[in-house]
Amino acid sequence: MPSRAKRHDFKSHIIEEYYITEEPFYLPLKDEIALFEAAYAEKIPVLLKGPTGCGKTRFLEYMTYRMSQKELTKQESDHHHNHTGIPLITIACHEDLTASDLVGKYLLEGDTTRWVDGPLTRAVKSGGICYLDEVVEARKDTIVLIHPLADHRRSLYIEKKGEVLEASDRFMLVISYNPGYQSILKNLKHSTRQRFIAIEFTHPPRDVETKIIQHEAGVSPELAARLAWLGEKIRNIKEQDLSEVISTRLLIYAARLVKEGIPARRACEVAAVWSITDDQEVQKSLKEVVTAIFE
Amino acid sequence: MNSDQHPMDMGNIFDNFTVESRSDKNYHGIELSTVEPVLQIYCQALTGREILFKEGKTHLPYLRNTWWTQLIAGSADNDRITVFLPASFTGYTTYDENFAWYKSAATQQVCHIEFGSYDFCFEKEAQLFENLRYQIKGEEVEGTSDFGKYFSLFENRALAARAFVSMENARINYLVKHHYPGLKKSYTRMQEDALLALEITPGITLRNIFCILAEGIEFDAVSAIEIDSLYEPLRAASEIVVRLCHPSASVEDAAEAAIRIYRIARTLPENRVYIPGYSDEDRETTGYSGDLDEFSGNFKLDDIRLDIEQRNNPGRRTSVPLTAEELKKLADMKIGISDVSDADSLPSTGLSSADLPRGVNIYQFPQSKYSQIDRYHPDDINQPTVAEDDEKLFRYDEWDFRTRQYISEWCCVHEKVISEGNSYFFDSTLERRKSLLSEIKKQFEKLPAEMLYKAKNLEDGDEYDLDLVISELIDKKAGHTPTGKVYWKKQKIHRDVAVAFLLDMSGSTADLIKKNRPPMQYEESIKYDFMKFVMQQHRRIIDVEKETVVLLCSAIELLGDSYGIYGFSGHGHNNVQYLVIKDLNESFSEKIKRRVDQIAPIHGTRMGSAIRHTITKLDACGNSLKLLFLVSDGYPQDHMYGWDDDDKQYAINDTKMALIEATRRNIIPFCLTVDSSGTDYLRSMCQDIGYEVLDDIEALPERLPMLYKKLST
Repeated sequence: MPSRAKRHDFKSHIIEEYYITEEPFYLPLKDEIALFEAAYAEKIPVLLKGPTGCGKTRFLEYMTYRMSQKELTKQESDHHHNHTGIPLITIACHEDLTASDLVGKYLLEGDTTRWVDGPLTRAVKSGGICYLDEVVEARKDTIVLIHPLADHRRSLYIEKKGEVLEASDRFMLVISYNPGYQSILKNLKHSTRQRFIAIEFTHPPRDVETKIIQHEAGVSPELAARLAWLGEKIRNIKEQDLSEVISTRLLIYAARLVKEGIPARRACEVAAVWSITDDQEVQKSLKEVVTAIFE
Repeated sequence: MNSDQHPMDMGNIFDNFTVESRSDKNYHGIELSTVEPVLQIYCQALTGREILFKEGKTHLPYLRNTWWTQLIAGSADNDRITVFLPASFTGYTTYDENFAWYKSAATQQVCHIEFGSYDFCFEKEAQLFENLRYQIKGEEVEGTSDFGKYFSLFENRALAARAFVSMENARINYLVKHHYPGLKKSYTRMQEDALLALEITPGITLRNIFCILAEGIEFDAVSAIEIDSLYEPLRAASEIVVRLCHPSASVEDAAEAAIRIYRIARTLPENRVYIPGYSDEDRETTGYSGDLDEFSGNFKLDDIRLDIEQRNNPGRRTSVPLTAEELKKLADMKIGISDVSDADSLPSTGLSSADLPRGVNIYQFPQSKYSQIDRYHPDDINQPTVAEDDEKLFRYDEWDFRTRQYISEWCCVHEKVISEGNSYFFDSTLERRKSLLSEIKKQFEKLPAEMLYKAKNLEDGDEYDLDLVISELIDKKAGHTPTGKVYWKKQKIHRDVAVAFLLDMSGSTADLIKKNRPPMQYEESIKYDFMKFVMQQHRRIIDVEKETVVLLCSAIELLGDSYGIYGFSGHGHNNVQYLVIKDLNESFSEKIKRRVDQIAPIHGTRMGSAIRHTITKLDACGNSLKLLFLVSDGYPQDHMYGWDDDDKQYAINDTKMALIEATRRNIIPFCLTVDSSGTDYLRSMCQDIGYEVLDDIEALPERLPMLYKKLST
């Protein structure tokens, strides 16, 4: 009799207690690790720029783990009793994200009220890395809220409580966006941009991407190399024909489908062709590239 | 290959390269124009470069050497190559096989860029062979290119070039099949067919046969020819080719392999091989004129372009810059192309055709900003580019999908306000279509009611917002001063729309509207048609367009939106007529009524420039919602709109790009056609852009205002 799946096979974390405990797989492209470490040491906020699926979030997870390990080593040497790493607090930005959603709000509790910190406040207090993903999606008046946190003040103003929070030394603000598909209307204000150093990401070179696909999907180096080759070819197509090129993530999906027994051509068609364009002519051309690379 | 079959019977699939009738049910052939857009993007993916496609007049087996022929002519390098393909291909029995042939032939040509044939560097060491280049004492030639230095090592440079091209072809063929295993089957078939077809070349020397066969050693083409004296040399050559066929082989490896092949070839006699059954007359009819043609692929001068401006572009990356001096030297080496008699001076080099030795084939195009000079038409010279008194001139780029580039300022748009007639047409249409107008107005009057949205955080409004009230109470309990902003109410969205209607005023809009008649016997139908002719009022497509304009004006005036109505036509790229019926910033008046009267069919349909000009007009408006309606009666077509008068693909692609440009400027375009066959081209022209095909043109006056209503809300 087949065993039944566990009813509660998920894990739940309090947002400021979400630690990266296992080393995420990350292959550096340039000097981004050194840059991030330097920025963290100097308490400089970081902006991660790059196309969809090129590894921005993975990089941040990796750096959080790395900084956590350093912090733990430091705590051990300082004979701290409570060993805690650095939490990663992620906030997905969207149009309806309000200042209250970030900072916190009062809630009714019986006959009284209780203040509940928002994720940004919790990150500031706990000394975590606060990651505002796709920051340009948030309204400009909401983004302004992070300005005092992103300059020399490193402070969060909580208007409703009449409080100013000075961030812990371990706190770091990281924002990300994809400059490719954002419209002019949704660009970052200069006053926001100029509070961050920017690390730019591109798609990894073929040999690096091969290793990533191989590791992430658990496929043979040959298949990974062919998929990386396909990725490189698709990225050759110019903007007039393809507004957003294929991500490493989609190549990994294709590899996983192949691993599950889907023929390579079909896997690439659904993961690498249809996912990135609706233009029939471009689809046909991409399929020709796929059928050339895969038997 | 079937061993029982005589080699001379093979390889003549190319005899079937005739364009058969499309009506033939067994027709599986492909015309290049139908697959070119797909292949172009495919080749761009392979190389990362913009690839120009050209219909090749070359004998097909020689297509494999076009990379070299272009290199010699200075028209190809790391950044550009022209892919030569036949206008149609019917060599095989199925569509898929024929398409696979096209794909393989294109891959073979562009992979010379992908795998670095043009990257040859004399100083760079080969990895798979010992570097003999540095051991040979060649002729000291200063200032030559890398290829120049290399060929100066050889006494018989023509033979050395053959050896090099053969080895480089072999390397590329191997790499294509290694990196693109999905192509392997069709690619090998193409290779075999091409090389086997070469065997019948009459008068070819034994040395040249050796070089050609060395290229085909990998699939045992050796067995296809029965010349005993070649057996041992080919066996020796096979060892070289096997070593060369390696995933890491570079062009320098091919060059080293070529030195070894050259040495073997030099041991062979210089005999020409005459094949029984092929006389001199045969040579003339087959188009062969000996070794040079065999090598060059029988190229004619109009097959090769020398894009002077691209050569002079300082930003262009090239590893093999061939100067005039080098061209001349290469020509001296007799590794060039067939004779030309009418090549003029080369602007980039100052070299005249008289200075060039026989054997160099250079075709000069007139100076221009772009390379499609053969699109110039004598008529163009006299086309007006000077504004008349009441005209304003505007220049716009045009998109060439083949080169995947804009042709800078190629089109001249002549904008002028249409002349005025009388207001009878306008008024009589209002009277005649009273009931339809009333219906449209009713629909439009409903619009303000539909333009409401829920405004929150208000101090006063229709009702409480429960979330805000709770939040307010909590804040109050927490000791904060309430804001009082707990209401919501429906608020009207201020309409901020600018719309431009672009009407096709081409000659074809003069066509009479044909109504479908019920099925009937022949005699009855004659009678029916005659009676219809006598009884019915003859309405043209343009008349329905005019009627639509009348209804639109009356309806949109109700809303107070900013709207413009423009007509376009023209004759050639320098004469795109853009007629203003009502400008965007102009108020409706009696003048407009009189202008509508003058809407009439003119010439062609150069849609791209007309759309671009309308974009400019809409761009100047500060409105938050901008719409562009294109109303046409057929696909875009104009004098020399493309590479000839009937280059449908070019015109469609230019229009498509203009529509994309509109979306990039936050303008919403919509195409409406009354051409019942419009679905075919609108699907590819519009892609994600909205379009509609009206089966019944009489529905236009009703449909267009409704579409406008839908899009503007």
